[in-house]
Amino acid sequence: MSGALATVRGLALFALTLALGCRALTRETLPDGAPAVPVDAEQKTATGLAHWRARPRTVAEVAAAWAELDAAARATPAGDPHRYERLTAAARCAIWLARHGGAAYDARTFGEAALVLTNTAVEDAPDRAEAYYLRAVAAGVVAQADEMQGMDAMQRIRDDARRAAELDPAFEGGGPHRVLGGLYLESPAPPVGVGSLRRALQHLRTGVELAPEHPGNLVFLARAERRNGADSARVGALLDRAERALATVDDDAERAYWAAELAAERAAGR
Amino acid sequence: MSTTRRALAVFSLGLLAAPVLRAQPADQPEALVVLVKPGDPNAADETRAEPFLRRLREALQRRVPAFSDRRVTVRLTADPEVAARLVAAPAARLAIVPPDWYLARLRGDQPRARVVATVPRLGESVERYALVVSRAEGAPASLDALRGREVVMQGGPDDAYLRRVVFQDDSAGPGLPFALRRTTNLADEVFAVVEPADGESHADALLVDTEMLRFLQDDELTWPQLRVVWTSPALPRELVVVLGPDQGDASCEALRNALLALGDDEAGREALELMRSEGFAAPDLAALARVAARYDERAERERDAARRGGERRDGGRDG
Repeated sequence: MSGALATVRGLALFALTLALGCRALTRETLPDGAPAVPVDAEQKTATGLAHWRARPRTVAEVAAAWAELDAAARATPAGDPHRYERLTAAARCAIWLARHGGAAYDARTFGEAALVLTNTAVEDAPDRAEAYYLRAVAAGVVAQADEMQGMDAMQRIRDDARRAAELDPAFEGGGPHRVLGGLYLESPAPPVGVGSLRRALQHLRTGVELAPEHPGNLVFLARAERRNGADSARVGALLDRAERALATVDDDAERAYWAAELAAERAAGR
Repeated sequence: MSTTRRALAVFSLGLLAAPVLRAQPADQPEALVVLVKPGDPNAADETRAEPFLRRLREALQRRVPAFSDRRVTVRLTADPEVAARLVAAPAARLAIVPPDWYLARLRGDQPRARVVATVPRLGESVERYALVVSRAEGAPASLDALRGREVVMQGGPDDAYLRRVVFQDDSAGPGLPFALRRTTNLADEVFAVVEPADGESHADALLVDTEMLRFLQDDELTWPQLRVVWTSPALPRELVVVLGPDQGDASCEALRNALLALGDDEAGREALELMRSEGFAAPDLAALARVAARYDERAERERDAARRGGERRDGGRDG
């Protein structure tokens, strides 16, 4: 499942609203029991992954991948060595549909589905980075759909991304540092949010050191540098690198997302 | 979300809010509710606080009998001068203000400005300020050790209230016992304190209120590197003040009861949640009177000291 650009779109919530409620995100995990109807989890995993890897990546393909991988994850008992991969693969699909699926895929519903899957995966393997990272992204997706869960989501994003950064800082192109940098960059000041430009710069510079050609790292760093008063030449150079890096993104929806972020950042700098 | 889309989203929030306002007859008189958070960067942008303001407006419109025939508008501001203008507006009927702002600007406006409620937050019905320092070796370990050092604060009371009420130190002279610097983002200051960069100066302590202290304590990465070295006495929290023509005791009581029951309304409950409050509560007017007396007594002493200083200077010039 590598290569997906799980991002921090949900974090935009924190730039939109200063009113973040304290309702708790779901702590639910999958029940640990055999499904009522026997399921060939291995077959479903193979089919699901084939849909996920199909290019172009369309809503229909990811929806098909989600159906297969979610069923496979639910049919895999705790202790099975394949369960973690199935849980995180299904979570990726849920997050993608929440972000790019449009009106047919309610962001809160699919974000919460991803939370349940990643809660389970974190419980299964607390020393692996991927589920923490995906749970942080899923928390952002849910918070974007429901500001009443914003405060808990913000803390979840921070804590999970920190844990992921400890375990595997380079995961998905410095993803944990990208998430942390985006969070600190877009959140309001405390005590409403965890926003801190100083902290954002720290994480985003680390992200770019770890993955110098990741468009997300470059766009976010450009934004942070601009807000920190960097000269337009430095910001422009980062954005030029981000533009070149876009060509390496093979997911159309993700590429479009980062292209829009990049265009917005160029406009903001003018 | 791109800036463009973000701007569109903000715009759409505005569009969503507009029908609510338009649904109210335009010829209804306005009831203006003013939320005052001087110097708070999070209160500087009403658009971003729209989800909260919308819910509060809806709940007040539905639940406060005195507002039933009025068009409720809720405004939020961090600017003391804007706040002063809004509170003085003929349509102003209610304000939520910090105690320092009440003492300095509203208290004299009696019987027009009456305190009817307070706003507990995070389960605390009183405010306590705290000085937080680094646990690193050599960091100041007491208020005394901070004399002459730099303390940083985000928002919070004005200097007069800090001098006269929060730091009730009769020996400290007319000023604060330390150099106070105001910041728009305390998180940046916290990180500078716990992870100072080479050659970078940072504040010697952070002055925080209860909510900010709780925020710091919730961060498992930074809090173990910090500690509290001083805590203020229990002080009043934000006050809800009735404004406008004097409505009499019965009307104020009805308004207070409606506020205390605001959590019975769904939008009211959500607005309270967004304020991290369990609900409005009756104010401790005796405690407020004690604080006001302290504030006035210290103000008088400061004026005396200033007069004496002026006389000495004049005497010196004459001599």
